[in-house]
Amino acid sequence: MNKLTLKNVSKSFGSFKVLDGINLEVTDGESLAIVGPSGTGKSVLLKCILGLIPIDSGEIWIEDKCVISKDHNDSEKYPGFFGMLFQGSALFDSLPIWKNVAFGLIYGQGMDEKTARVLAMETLDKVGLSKKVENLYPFEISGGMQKRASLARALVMKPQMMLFDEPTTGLDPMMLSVINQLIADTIRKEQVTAMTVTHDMSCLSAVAGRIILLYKGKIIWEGSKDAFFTTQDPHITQFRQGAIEGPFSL
Amino acid sequence: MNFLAQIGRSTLNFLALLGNMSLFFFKILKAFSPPFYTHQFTNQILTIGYFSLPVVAMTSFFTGMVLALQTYTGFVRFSATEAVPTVVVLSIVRELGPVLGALMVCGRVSSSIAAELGTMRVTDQIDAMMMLQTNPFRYLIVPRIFAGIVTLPILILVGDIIGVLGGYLVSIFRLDFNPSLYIDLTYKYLGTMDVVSGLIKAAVFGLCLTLMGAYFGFTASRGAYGVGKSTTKAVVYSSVLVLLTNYILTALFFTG
Ligand SMILES: Nc1ncnc2c1ncn2[C@@H]1O[C@H](COP(=O)(O)OP(=O)(O)OP(=O)(O)O)[C@@H](O)[C@H]1O
Ligand SMILES: [Mg+2]
Repeated sequence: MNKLTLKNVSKSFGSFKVLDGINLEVTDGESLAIVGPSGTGKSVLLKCILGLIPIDSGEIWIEDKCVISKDHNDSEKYPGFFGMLFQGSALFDSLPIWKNVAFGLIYGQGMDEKTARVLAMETLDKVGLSKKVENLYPFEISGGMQKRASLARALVMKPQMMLFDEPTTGLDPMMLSVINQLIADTIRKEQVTAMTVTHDMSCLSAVAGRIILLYKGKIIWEGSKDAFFTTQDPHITQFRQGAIEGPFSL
Repeated sequence: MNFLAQIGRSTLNFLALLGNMSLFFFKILKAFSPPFYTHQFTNQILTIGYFSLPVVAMTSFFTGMVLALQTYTGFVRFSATEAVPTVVVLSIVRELGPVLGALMVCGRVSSSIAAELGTMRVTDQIDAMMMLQTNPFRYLIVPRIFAGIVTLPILILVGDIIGVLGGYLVSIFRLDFNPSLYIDLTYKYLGTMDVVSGLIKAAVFGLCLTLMGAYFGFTASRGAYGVGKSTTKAVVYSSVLVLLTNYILTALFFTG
């Protein structure tokens, strides 16, 4: 059974069609990566799946239930199914880092603060944030550190499926490897199904199983990671090489 | 023709806004349920109530002073200056205390709620909260609304006392009233309902102004520009709503 299925999902903002009939199947334990030029609707796609943005047509299924369509949104009935790393980190700026990470445990699941704090500290340690930051506020740490704190906040909830929106932008090369490894481990060891939006080739090779290319609201290429790195498809070669000349209009 | 279309469109937009606000209000009512985040409640009671005290106190104080001078100016012309204390206290507790106080709190509180929630909205913090199995209505909005309903009457009661004090000071030191006579006259015609009706008004205003702040903050979009617009709207709508509900409540309480 598929973990997640999208059937002909479309979404427009005004007259601008951002998602145009997306069909997608994600199997249990799979790691799917989404690539595509800036502004093609990758973040919008993730938010539609989470039920945060209403869709115009089509259906989104979790396992064997249709959860979201134009007329209904049952995503609240699946608390804890998804974890999300937002592109902009989206940390709560009125709370210190440890409480950001422990937030879902304390306020969502009703765990007592002490236990939640211990779990939060363990997870912060995993993403390479030292004890120094636990009492700092989000605006007091760097963008890369915010990203890692946000990752910790999602992982500590142990979701069945993780959505990562550009998990590695803003990281230095060493931290990049650490986070790539962490995401890969999470997927493999904890058998989390994952969808990762990324522009980063090292992230792709470390994390991805299957890769789809999104362009102008449509999936225009789909294949395995090996195929992605070997194909002669002009879109993919342009994307891989970062060439200015090619089928993508910039 | 164009003009009519414009009116039609504005009316439809306004009706849509009312519809959305009602839906929003319904969601808040649904979120008035456990778990209650007590820490958030106390926090909001401090920010909305306690920290508004200086603004409300100052407004009432000057209003009381001005009222004493103005009513005296009128009443001295037909030798009815004995009515000054009564007019001052009734005007303050029934009308000016709650309304002017609430309008000041609109500027202070609705705007800050809208700006804070709006920023959280446009930076995905509200979405993130939902992903962490926490209902943002319950965590963010219910405590603010509750704090508004609970603290506004207290604020206004304190404001009433300070307003009367303002009138008293002006009357004693500027208009040469006899202090004990002024206090006697202040109490003589003051009924419980005069004070209570003002405090009921205050509670309703507290609901209105936190609700408007929360609605426009929650529905903000388009970055800093959108947050700015939402903040302005929150202040405008909450002020107008305060004046509107004030008329409705006054008409309800009016006994002649
Ligand atoms: N709330 C919104 N209202 C109107 N338009 C929107 C909204 N959100 C996104 N868009 C539009 O949808 C398009 C896709 O946005 P999205 O954020 O999904 O891009 P993306 O593929 O994630 O790009 P990037 O790689 O830069 O993050 C953009 O062109 C954007 O202008
Ligand atoms: Mg994006």
